Amino acid sequence: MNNGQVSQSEWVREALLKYEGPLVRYAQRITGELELARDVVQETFLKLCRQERAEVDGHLSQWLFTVCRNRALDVQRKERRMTTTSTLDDRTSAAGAETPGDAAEQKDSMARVLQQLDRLPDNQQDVIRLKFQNELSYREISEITGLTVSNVGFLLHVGLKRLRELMQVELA
Amino acid sequence: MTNPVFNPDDPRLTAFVLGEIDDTDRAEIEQLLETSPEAQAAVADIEDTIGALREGLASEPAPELTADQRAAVEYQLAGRTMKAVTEAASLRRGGRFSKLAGVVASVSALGLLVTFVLPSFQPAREYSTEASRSSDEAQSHLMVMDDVEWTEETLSVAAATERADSNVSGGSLAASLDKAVRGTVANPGDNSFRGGYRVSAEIAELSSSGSSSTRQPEYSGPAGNTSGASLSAENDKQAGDVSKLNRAQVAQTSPAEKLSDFGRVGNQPKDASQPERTQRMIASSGSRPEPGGSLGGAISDGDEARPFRLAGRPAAASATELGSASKSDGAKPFYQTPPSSTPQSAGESAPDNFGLAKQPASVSGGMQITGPRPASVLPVKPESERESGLSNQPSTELASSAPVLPANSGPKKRVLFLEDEKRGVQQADTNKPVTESESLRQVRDREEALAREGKSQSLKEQSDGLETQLAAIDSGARRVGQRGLGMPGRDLQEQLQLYSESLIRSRSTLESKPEAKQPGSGFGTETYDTIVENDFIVPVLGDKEKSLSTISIDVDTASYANMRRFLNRDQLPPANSVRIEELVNYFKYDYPEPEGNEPFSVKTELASCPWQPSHRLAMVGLKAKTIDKAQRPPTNLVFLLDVSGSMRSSNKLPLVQQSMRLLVEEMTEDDRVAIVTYASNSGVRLESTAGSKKSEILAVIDSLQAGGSTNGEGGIRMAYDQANRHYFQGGANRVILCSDGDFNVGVSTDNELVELIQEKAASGVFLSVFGFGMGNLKDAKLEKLADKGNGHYGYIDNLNEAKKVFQDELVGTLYTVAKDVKLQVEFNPATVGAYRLIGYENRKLAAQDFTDDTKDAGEIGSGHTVTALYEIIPKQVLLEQPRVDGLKYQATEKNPAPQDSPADPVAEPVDPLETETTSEELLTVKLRFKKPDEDVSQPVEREFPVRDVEIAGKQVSAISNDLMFAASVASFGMNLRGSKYRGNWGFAEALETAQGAQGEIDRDQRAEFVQLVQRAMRITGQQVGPEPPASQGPTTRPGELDATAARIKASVDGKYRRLVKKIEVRDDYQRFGAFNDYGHWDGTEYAGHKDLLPGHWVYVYPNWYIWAEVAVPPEVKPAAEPAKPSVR
Repeated sequence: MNNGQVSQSEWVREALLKYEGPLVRYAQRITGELELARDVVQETFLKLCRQERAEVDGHLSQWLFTVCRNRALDVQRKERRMTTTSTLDDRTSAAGAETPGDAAEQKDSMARVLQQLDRLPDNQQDVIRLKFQNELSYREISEITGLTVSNVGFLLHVGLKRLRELMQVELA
Repeated sequence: MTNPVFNPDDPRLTAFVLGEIDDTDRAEIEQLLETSPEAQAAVADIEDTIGALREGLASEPAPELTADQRAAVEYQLAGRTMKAVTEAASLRRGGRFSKLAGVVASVSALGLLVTFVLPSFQPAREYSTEASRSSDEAQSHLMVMDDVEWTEETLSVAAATERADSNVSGGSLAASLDKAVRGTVANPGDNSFRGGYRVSAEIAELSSSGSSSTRQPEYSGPAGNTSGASLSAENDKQAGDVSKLNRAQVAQTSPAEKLSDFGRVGNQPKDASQPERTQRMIASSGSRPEPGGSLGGAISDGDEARPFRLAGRPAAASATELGSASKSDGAKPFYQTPPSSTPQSAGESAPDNFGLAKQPASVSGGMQITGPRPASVLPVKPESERESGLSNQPSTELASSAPVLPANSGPKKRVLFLEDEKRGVQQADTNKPVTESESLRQVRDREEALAREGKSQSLKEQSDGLETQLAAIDSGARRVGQRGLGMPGRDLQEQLQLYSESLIRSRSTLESKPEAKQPGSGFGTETYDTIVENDFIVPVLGDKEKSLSTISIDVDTASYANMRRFLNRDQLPPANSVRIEELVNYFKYDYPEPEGNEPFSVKTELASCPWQPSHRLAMVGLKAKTIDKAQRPPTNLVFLLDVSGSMRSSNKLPLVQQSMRLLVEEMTEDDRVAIVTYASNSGVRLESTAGSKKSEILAVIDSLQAGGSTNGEGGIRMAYDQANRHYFQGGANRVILCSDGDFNVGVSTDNELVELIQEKAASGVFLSVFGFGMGNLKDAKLEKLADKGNGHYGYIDNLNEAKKVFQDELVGTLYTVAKDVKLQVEFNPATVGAYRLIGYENRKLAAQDFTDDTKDAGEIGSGHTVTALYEIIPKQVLLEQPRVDGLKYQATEKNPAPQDSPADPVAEPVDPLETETTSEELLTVKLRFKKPDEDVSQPVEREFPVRDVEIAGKQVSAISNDLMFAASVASFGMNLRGSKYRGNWGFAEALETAQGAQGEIDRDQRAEFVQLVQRAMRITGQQVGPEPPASQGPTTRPGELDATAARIKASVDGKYRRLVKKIEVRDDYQRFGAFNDYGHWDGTEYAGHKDLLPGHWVYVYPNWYIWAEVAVPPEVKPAAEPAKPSVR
């Protein structure tokens, strides 16, 4: 038996377990559609399968998000032309996939913040999600998005500030 | 540095909060914060926003991939493995990804061809079998089993060989043509049309690209391409052919037609209301969500499709046949070959099988097959089968050199088995075929039984079957590989493989045990370490590692409370957050008090294993001596509190404060309490103070506020300093860390923290870690810290849990009666076939660590009980492979007498046959530990033998409540994990057993467990029906809410948009629990609150949330208690 191969498989599986949810969620924001997002993530992992572990180890999450993001953007560009009909439904149902209990449980601020987040420019939303949903560092986000680190910092800062304002406006 | 000026647009403010700032800038910002109130406000705002964002974003669903998408990844992995095996293989990339993926046949000069033709996309065709027939005739015959029902598919595995080493020089070639056409119609609801559409689209694409070998789909898996250049060319040509044909077909076939094809797949009526279905059908073509191997199916699209049998021609011929057959028949097949068997060859009818004798080839059915293995069985269709195949069934033939289970389609399948063992590759190994055909037969028999059962199977189950089957291929092949040629018989290890496969298989035949739908293991920003469950191990004489199971005991309970939190939010916990031993150990068990000065008592119990009745379940229970509260030694406590911004939410710092108040109440003047906080800056908030000065302590507790970022390390140092300064010799010295675990500043790597904590633990100050809150929980990190700090890890999800830990079980929480407690169980190879430790995955030790006193292990606190469960396969059972729960296993030649095991684990005594010969000891439990204050240990060992005879004839009543309950909890955990070891039990059985095992001890907790199981059942839709849980919208429970009335808009259109009232009613906690229950309410007055609009309500302690629902006529249910909203 070739242990190297086995551990490669295990490695990919672990990565899959750990990241599929976050990646699908992330991709869904870009593609707007769950199924497209899943495709993208599947493809991401297929690519990972072919990747030499040594090349990715240490920055696995960054690698995954990079591949996933690029792919999702591709798909999104492509699909835009095709105008799918299910987008809206998918999106709302995914966002509303909670029971009434969950809805009630969530804090007002939480609900608000998500509502308002949607109003930010895409690039700000993107870095915010990478940072606060996926806990990536500035540097990782920079690698993933191709932005500079200081640009990432700027977008985050501006995004947060804007978000804050939007929430306050809504309160008022 | 000049005085910095506050600029609200300075990104460094955010960077500062996030710890993404260099030292110079940090200093500057800190300076700014000291001088500028505006800056302080801005930073506080940023922290607030981040806090809300983190929680909000964490609440967004993180959907998983679909089962078949995961399977595709598995294909790829398998392909990769294959590639390594066949060195000459080259990977071609390019192409595109789509819903259709397929792996097309590859050819390897030596060995066999495995082709799965995916019936799903193809109605049967007469000529689909014609070609094969002709070649079949020249070949050996097959045993055909159970074709009656399997009209939909035939699975063709025309054997396979794989070059184990890449020595494919000369005439033998391994070339492969890969096409990926994998069917995926994953989206619920969105139906086959789209799937169909995409199918054709993909075909078009493939067609146009197919003529050039350079445009293979990039994920298409390995393309074996050895020295046989000519073969490669051949492949390319075929690709071209295929594509052309495909294109032709595409031209003819409209999406609508495709759709109808989809509809026909597997004879399963397409049903828009059951999107799962469609997915399943496609998934059944070979997808498998779990590792372990997947079958790929070749997608034969359209009417003309036909399965390919690459038989009757040596080597490359098979590939050629693909092409030519297609042409001549006008067929437009998509082939899909599971990567698990990618390198293929037409060894079948090539009796000369190049060099097989020299080079064992193999079927690779799983991920791990890389070694050389000979393949053995060659599939050929029998006449009879052919006839039925002709009668318009899509045909897929399955045959293989290894035990092949007809994979994908559950009952609807036909397996063909080769009888002629002298053929083909088998020449290389005359002994092996016996084994193989036995396996085949067993497999087949099981299939048969399955088919008879005729139960509809869930997707999961089907896929399970698949997995198992591939695993069987795998193991068969591996077995051969490992054992070499000509070695008769099989050893226990092999037997175990077969056996466990059969178990998994048998599980999948049971009536729907809805699969626990797992969220991804990353929930929000919570992180959990991956747990790979323990496997069965065969104890071997003279092999210490295998005969001994050594663990560090674990009294942590965090996983249970964490699970409870998820369930109470109507979510299943991520699989990796479920640590079964922590669930089991959350409960107290009625183990005897230790006698005399013994720090422990040990109780062992053996019963038949509830979820797998022919097995045993051994329980090892420890109970630590109980120290009376009044007699507890003086205590030196240091609270180390995370007060960073992330702790702000109500279930974090406020709950920490409540917990501390409880604990402080218990303190006396002999005790000392100190409080250290950490955030951006750490500080001692309360110098160590006598426990009697309660008001002083409480005042500090009340004054705590959250804000700033986290620097865990500095705080930890200060806390240990405080603890050391007031160290009580002979007392309990402990740092209690309360955090959500988000150490997110600076260089505080886990390892550095752990080192620090280990160093401090050596000084006698132990660490207890309590996790609070959600959305940001770093579970693995907290557990590790506690583990290294000789401590305890708990999770506090609500005030009740705080009371349990800090009040009721305070003594156990704070006072360690023994440390480095190691448990070793020695299994007797003479009686134990195999054993499996349930849980404790991250607590396992090497056998020699048991006596190595330098190896750290678990601590046990006063009154704590620790329970370890082992599932044991008695040797006899393993050897005989008896029937498992209604499935028939055909007798093997070696073991001609299969026997039944009791169908009901509890209602029947253990089969006497199983016990009569096993009066010897099964296992011996050994313990080793140190006294808490001993650095150099006088390790004490204890031994407790357990004899299997003890359970002979044991009736239910004789099995203790404790064992029943522990089994129930373990089973629940395994089901939450989706464990393949979960046996015949689902939530329902765990529930029933738990309900029957309520006793005096731990009454509230056990009752709560019952509720949690029910909740899990509700989440998975088990009370609603067999369908998996609806993935969206509010769950409606029949009888409670009318479907229309229950359409609570609030959760769909925006959570609070229609919220009309929130009223606090604490009293209702008793009735509706801490978390949500919901219903409809039609009154106008409730609990003193007037003028309430009728509407739907949710109760989340302590509030009622009411949404007006005027648009939908409220469905008035008779209220049981008129004064209250109607619950049901």
